[in-house]
Amino acid sequence: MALAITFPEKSKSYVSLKGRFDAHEADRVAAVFAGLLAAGKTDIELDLSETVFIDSTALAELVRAMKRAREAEGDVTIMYPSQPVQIILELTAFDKAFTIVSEQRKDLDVSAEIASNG
Amino acid sequence: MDSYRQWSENKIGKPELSVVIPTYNEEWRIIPTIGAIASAVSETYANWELIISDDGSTDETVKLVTELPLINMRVVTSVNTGKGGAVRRGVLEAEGDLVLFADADQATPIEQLPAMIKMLEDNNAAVAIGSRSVDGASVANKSAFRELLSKGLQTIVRLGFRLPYQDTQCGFKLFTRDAAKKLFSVQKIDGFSFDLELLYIARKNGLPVVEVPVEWHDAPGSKVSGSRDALRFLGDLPVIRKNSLQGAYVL
Repeated sequence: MALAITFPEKSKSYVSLKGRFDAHEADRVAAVFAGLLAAGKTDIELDLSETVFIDSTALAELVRAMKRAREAEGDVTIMYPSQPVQIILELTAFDKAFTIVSEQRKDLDVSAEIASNG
Repeated sequence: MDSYRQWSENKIGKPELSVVIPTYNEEWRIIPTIGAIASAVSETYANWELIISDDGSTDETVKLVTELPLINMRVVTSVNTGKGGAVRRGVLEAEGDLVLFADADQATPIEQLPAMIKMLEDNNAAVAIGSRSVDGASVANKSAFRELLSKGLQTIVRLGFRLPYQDTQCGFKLFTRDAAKKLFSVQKIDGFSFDLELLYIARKNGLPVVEVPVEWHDAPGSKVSGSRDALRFLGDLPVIRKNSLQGAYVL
């Protein structure tokens, strides 16, 4: 799994996970979240648009991070979940626990970004 | 997403494909696997069914899957018999033209299915078996001990049963409906060596089998206990021989 982080604003971080997010990757992602929260980056946007699978251990790690972020008055927002991830979130009912920006929203966001830059 | 919504909410006609997932105490892993399979298969097939064949789970597996809002998913329950028994019960319930059984841990991602179907059709085969050992396969995070054990058992299988396959045990196998019904009607082993038994029966009866390289990821929490299941596997080998000599595997 590939992981990339950018910092669009002072308290914000944008984390992208590409590939399979499973138990073998959960510790690495947990360490990244812990580092971000410790550094005061309490608003984490997590881009799962290119995540092909997410297992229960990974979901549990996201819930842990979301709770810690909310305790620090931030949040973990799931951005543009891929179709399998969206379905897994729905079937596990985690779609009700997380703030999710849907995949359809991505096209609008990209268009708006192009317009503002153009 | 529209294809998935359509499949999850509307009763299908006769299925082109049945996907059978055997489960035993899979409350922790099963729902993401179902989600991944439902997402991928719905994009290719409008008419397909999902069968969860539970093997007497003592946890919440059956309750969890029964509550899922998937109209074309069926749950087959039983007392605990072993993985072979669970797969057999699920496959014998299947109505699809093609029947896939896939492990509950999504170790072989469902995205491998189109290549399996293509190989089955291109080779006019009755069975396509996922393989972690042929050229083109990729294996992630498999422990050295499990790798060694697996190679040792496969060598015994090749020598003892003269089966020309590199990997008989991968939990991702595709059958034509006719082959599935015939093979599982005579297959008898309830434990982990049922895969070997199936391939032995297929070869004995001249059913063409094609081995397809797959991507495979170790999934923590595997129900396969290395040494214990290796011993059971070895113990089943003479049983398969005996069944064969007694004529139990004639299709």
